[in-house]
Amino acid sequence: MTASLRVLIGCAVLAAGCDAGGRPPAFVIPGPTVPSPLPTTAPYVWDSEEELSIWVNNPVTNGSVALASDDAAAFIRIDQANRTWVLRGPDLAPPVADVRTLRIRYRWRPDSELPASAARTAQVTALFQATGPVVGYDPIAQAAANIALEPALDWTDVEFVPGQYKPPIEITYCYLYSLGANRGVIEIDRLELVR
Amino acid sequence: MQRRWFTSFAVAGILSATPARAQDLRTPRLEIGATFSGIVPLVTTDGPGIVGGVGPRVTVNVSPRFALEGLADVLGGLESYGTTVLYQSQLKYAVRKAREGPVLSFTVGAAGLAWYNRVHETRVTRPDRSIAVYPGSRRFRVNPPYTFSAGLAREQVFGRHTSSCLAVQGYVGELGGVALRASLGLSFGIGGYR
Repeated sequence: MTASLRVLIGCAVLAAGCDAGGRPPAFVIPGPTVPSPLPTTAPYVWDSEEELSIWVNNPVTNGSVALASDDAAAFIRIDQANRTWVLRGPDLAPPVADVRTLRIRYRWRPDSELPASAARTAQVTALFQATGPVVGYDPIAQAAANIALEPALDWTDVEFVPGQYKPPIEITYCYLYSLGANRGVIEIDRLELVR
Repeated sequence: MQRRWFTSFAVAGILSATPARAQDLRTPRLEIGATFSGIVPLVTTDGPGIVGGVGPRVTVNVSPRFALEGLADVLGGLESYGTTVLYQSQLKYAVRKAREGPVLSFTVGAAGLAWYNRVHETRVTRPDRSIAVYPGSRRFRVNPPYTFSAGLAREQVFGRHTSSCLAVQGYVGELGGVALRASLGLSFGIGGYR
């Protein structure tokens, strides 16, 4: 290649502009799996002791999470709501389509010794592992839906509010995550995928 | 403002008609130097008020009065990721080139911007213990030189191999709309000035 040809190529590149390189696509290294001992079929409700046990007893769930029961039925008890906790649901095989969000039935009793000015809501996020991209800017992002649990002494149904994803989506599993609220006890006796 | 520019162009044209004299400074074929610059966008309201730059400059003197010049300024003070470079190629015509005293030149050229950005790999461990991996990357982008530049340069030789260059240039185009660039440079003449 002669010097003048190199100069010519250089000038042509400058005149046209160029864009080289770019970011390779992001990918996910999967976490531990949570096989379900029960068939995962519609209506995708977990409320019996055996079903709730899947959410509690797996390698992903962590925090002060335990399975408890009273005379009526079993429930999941998070007795240190002020700490981070994760509640992982079972792997859904096959993936579940047309999922809009998650509904839970809960009780939330903030510590009675909290000062009057302390916040009494508990922020919880439901995260869904989708089979495809859920937001344009990050193709591997998990779909997130949020709720601020209000104190409730009786069992109360709430639905998580979808964040930046646009339902419905197809998912392979979901889990609950909280960075912690004020001191108190959260109890959940029913989880249900809303379709 | 327009009248001032017109006058500058006219003066440059008249002076350029003067033939090279025997006592003209003889510049070497190649000069290599470095430039410090400040760019002030005159129209753009967002972004920084002044941008500083530093970078290399190469001058090829194709005749006693004509020169081709290429320069690149690594810009600082910008609100952008990575490295932003102003590159420019220009013709330089010496309107006054005596052996003693400063050399006054008129410059006209084209400028553009180039970017280089390096992103390191990022790994985010999620609450479910899966890991989102965003691989590292390098990206180089060059915009076409769609900015017109014109200005004046004042060069002063000191010593046999060294010269300084003080230049003021106006920019019109993609580079900040309308901008003014002032630069101070130092060049080394390969072969020396005579």
